[in-house]
Amino acid sequence: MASFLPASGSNPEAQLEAKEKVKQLARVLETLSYNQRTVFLMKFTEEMEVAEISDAMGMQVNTVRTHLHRALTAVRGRLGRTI
Amino acid sequence: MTRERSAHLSEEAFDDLLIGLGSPESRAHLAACSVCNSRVNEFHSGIDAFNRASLAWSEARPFASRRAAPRSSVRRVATSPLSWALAAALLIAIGIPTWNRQSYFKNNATVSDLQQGDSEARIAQDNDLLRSVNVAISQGEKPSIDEYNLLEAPHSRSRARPESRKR
Repeated sequence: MASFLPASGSNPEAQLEAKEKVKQLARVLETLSYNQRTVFLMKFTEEMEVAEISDAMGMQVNTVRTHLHRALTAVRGRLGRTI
Repeated sequence: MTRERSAHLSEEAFDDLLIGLGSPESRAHLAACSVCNSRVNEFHSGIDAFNRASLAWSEARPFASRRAAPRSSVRRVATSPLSWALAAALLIAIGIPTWNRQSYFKNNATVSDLQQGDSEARIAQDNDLLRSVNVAISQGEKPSIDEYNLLEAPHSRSRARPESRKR
């Protein structure tokens, strides 16, 4: 999927770095549980609010928050400073 | 507890900020701290790259375009008045000569025309062919009852029945 990153006019080094980030993030997302991945994508790809995710998933706000925390811990823990 | 020993945001406070549930204290720190601010920006740039890539990927999916293409072309053809006129013209051009030809044959065919294909020699030839096929088949064929060994093992049949009933 990283190869689908459109060229945005930046230098090749930045392009390569962005592609690497995408590749790594995709790999980490695959390791998350269904709920963690879903709420993470709802929040950061669909840009939904926590309350909206709570409604859509039929979960308590605190449960959504916990899933997001776990997903973020996994993402930032595995990718370190690259993201 | 929003700060670590290093005076930067704790992981939990940082996550809360990313989620959009950051406390006013965390937000104030973020506004003042360039290190935490760059971490947030770094995170968002990674997510943005991922989102752009996934959007480009979903737009480039071949099956989606294959499904969309015929649907749109069918809709375009079906709604165009020119296409309806063309279809009607084709129907008339092909349908009328075919109908005329059929009615001509219906009216002008004689009994001898219909019998022409079924001459006695042809019928005899076909009968010979069928007979030879029958002979060839029956030579290598066992009687159908032998195929199932019904006569050799009468008890196995009676045993098998209760099992099949159980099912």
